[in-house]
Order: sequence, then structure tokens, then C-alpha cells
Amino acid sequence: MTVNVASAGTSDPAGALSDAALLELSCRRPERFGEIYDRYIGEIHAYLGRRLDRQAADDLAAEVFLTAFRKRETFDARRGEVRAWLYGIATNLIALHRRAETRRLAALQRSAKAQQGPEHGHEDHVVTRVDAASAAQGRLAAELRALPDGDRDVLLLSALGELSHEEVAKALDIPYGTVGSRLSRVRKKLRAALGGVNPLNGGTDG
Amino acid sequence: MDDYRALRELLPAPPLSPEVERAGRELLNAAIAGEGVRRGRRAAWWSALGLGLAGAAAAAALVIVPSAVPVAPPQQQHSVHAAPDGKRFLLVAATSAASVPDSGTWWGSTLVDGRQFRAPGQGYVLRQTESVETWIPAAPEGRTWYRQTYLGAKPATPQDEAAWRADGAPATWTYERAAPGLITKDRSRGLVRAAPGKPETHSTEDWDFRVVLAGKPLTKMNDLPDTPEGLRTLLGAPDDRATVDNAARLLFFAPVSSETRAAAYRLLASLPGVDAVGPVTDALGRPGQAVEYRSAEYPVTPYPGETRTRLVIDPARGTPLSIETRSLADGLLLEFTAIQDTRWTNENPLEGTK
Repeated sequence: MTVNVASAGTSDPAGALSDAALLELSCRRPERFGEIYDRYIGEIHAYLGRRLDRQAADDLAAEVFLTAFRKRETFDARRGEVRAWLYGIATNLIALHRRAETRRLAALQRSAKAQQGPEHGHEDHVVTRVDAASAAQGRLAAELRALPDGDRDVLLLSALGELSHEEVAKALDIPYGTVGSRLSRVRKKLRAALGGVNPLNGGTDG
Repeated sequence: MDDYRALRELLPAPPLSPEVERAGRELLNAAIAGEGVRRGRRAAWWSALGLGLAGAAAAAALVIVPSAVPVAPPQQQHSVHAAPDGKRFLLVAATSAASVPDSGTWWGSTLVDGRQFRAPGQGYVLRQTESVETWIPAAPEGRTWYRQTYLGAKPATPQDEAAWRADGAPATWTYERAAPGLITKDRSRGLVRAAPGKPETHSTEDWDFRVVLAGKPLTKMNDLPDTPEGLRTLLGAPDDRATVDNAARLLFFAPVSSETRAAAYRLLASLPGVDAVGPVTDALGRPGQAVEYRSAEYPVTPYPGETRTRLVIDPARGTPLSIETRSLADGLLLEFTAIQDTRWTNENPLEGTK
């Protein structure tokens, strides 16, 4: 996310263009699209990596920008931010790799379980916390894996991409109201899976 | 938001390696450059050789054609027998170029493009020229301005002039098909006119064609390397000949910093296949020092034989004078672009004229 700010350096006044202005400019001056890449490659790669894995993120991140570049003339600033639009493209790309995502979540679930085994119990003090965390993570991974794809997309755009409800709605092309209802339903499930107490935090989940 | 935090901890972001970031950018750059070609914009002129540069109108025009007049053979021989240190003038030119002021909001250049070809059915050779004045803004968003003036066609040498007079001193020449030479309004009708034309000014909001260097778009000319090694990395082509072409184009046509221009001279001095010619006069009759090489590009006007490309430089001022394409067989001038003037300034005399 730091990349976002970095390109608006003082040495290049043009770098301070808003994303939307830059994207519009890139319709006439395609090379300016490179700055969109510079601003968001870090975030988009991270988002893909969180949802799939590092290898997939390495493979797919550029594809998000290539797609965006080809579609840049259809971007409508009235419908939202460039950033959210990129997340939408990335999410559509992830949809083509659902199996990879599911595999990853299954693996996370397994590794969380494995960590609870007795072989990890040599330092009781620490282990208690780790175990609790692992158990919760395992449940969380299981819950995520069980979610309908559409729900998972909404949840992770919100949680990982920090998109607003409206942005999620536009990125996925679904009604605004649907985002809210899906999110509240899904988050209830997650909190239940986390046991009401977030062991990662050591506090109660407000 | 604790469930969100748990999610972020469950799904950590992997690091983005610089290699992956760079590889992705290059993929994108290739798509961007490819689009320039697809749109058939002027950048396409250069992209085929991996180099998009300034002076596109100039570039479009740059050439000349076969002449039957033996002007150059004595100079031609120099290129073979030149002393090994015959290219030292390029380093002198680099030093001179490095101290040329390069600040300003406009980069202005005035080029003369010429071609030489035979009059229809006649033995004599015509030289056709046009002047192209280009003003490129330092700000990438600005419009680029052009003023093109057809300078006319006339017999290339005194011998040609004698033949032309014997032919009745015609003011136009008519070819059966499209005329050879520069792209003019009359060309498709097979007509070449002796008379100069009126200046035509236009501006264009085109994409920033100074940037597509070797398929690597640059947002600012300041992004260009200012060392010979850096330039070689940027301009390097699998074929050394293409690298030479790229370096020459950069030197002659690109609105680059003086340091970068100096680096281009040094790079040229170091590249294989670039032979010293020694002192020459350029297509406009100005004295300079020259190197020659076999270009990987074809002359604009079809010419059956092999050609050599000559760069004429003024080492004392560090300025390029002309790029000339000559036939290898007899050294005759086929096409050229001569630089009359280039400078950085804050005034664009064309702005607002149209």
C-alpha cells in the first residue's frame, strides 16, 4: 500500500494525478498506464497471494494489469475508484482458479490441525496460546472453504482489499444490498468459528 | 473487526520480489508498445526495430535515393582504411555534447530531409528536400507542434543541372506510377514539383513517442541512462547492427539530456561495425567527421544494392549533422536527414499559430 503514495513524488507533478485522471489519460497515452501498475502492483499481488499462494500471485498479478490495460477505455469513473476496479478484475481472475484457492484453504486447515499435535507441546506456556490460535485458524480456514464462492469474494474484498460495501458491489457487479446481507451473514459464521473469543488477540470479540 | 484481523493473519501476503515486479512491468510495457503499433501511430515507424523516438514526422521523411553521380567514392575508401583511433572524435563530441545546456520547456529541432532519385526516363538525378521543424514539449501531456515546408526538387549536381537544361529545364516531372521521393500531395499522381511549397503547421496530441525505447516505455526522458553501459542495456538488440541504429536514432532525434547524448556518442564509439570515415562534408555541405556502418534498417526508398549509413558529426560542438544512406557499391547518396538546429528553449514559436 505504500506504493500507492510513492509515485506521487514531488519531482514529477504528473505523478500526482488521481488514479481516474491517469487512467483516462492512458486512453490517449497508453504508456501512462504503467503508473497504474506502479501504484497498485504491490497491493494486487498481495491480494492474489493471500487468496491463492505466492506462485499464483507471481503468475497472475501482471495479468490483472494487462486485463485492466485492455479494458481501460471501458472504465467509468462515475462507477467507482480505479483501485476497486482492479480488485474486481483480480477477483474475477481468482474465480478462474477456484480449485487453487480451495486447495490452499484445505492445506491451511490441515496445517492448523497438525500444529495442535503433541509434538509441539514442549513449551506449555507458549503452546497453549499457539494451540488456541491454531485451532481457531483451522476452524476459520474450514469456514472460509465452506463458503459459497460469491460470499467468499464479498468477504475477502472487504477484509483483505478493504473495499467499501459500495465498491464491493461495483467490483462484483452485484446489488449494494446483497453485499451488506452477505457480509453480516458470513461474519456471524466467522465469529462463531472463532469462538466469540479471538485467541489471536487474547480479547473478546466485540 | 477482529474476524477481519484473523482472516488477514490466516492469509498472510507473500512478498513481491523485485524480479516479479519487473517482469510484470515488462509484460505490460510490451502490451503498451504493441498497442502503439496496432494503432498504426507514428511510433510504429520505430517499433519494428524496437525503438520509438522523436521527430516522427522527420523520421517519416528522412530519406534519399539513388544518384548516378559519382560524388563520394574517394570518401568511401576511407571507411575501410581508417586508423584504429579514427573514432576518437566521437569521444570529443561526447565531451562537447555534455556541456550543451539542456533545460527548457520545449525541445525544438529543424531537420532537412532529402532524397535523390532519377528524373523519369532521364540520366540525371534530382534532389528533393523538405524542412521539418518539430517542437516537443517537456511536459508529456502537451501537444507536439510541426511545421513542414516542401523545399522543392532540383538537379543534384552541376552535371545533373546541365542534363536538366538539355532536357528543357522542366519544372515538374511525371512518373508513370507513384513518384519516388518524399511523401507529398502530388506523389500518388506520379508528380514531382520543382517549386517549393508553403509551410504547413499542425500540432498533434499523440502518444508520447519519445518514450518507446527498445520496447521500454519511459515516462520521462530523465529516466534514460546517462552512461554508455546503461544505454547499451536499454538499446541493446540481439543484433549489434540494430543496437547501432538505435544509438544513432537516439543521438539524432531524441530530446534527451546532454549527458545522455554524450553517452550515446561514447556507446557508438565502442560498438563493433562502426567504422571511421574521417573528415567529410555532409549532405548540406557542412564540414564534419563521420563514421559509417551497415544499418539493420532498409532505406525508405527501395534500392536493390547494399547500403551504408553515414553519421556526420561536428565534434567541436558535439552536435550531429546528418544521417546519410549511401550505396555500398559507389558511395552515392540515396537519402539523408540533416539537422539544421536543435535546442532546448522556453519558447515555442509555433504554439498558437494554429
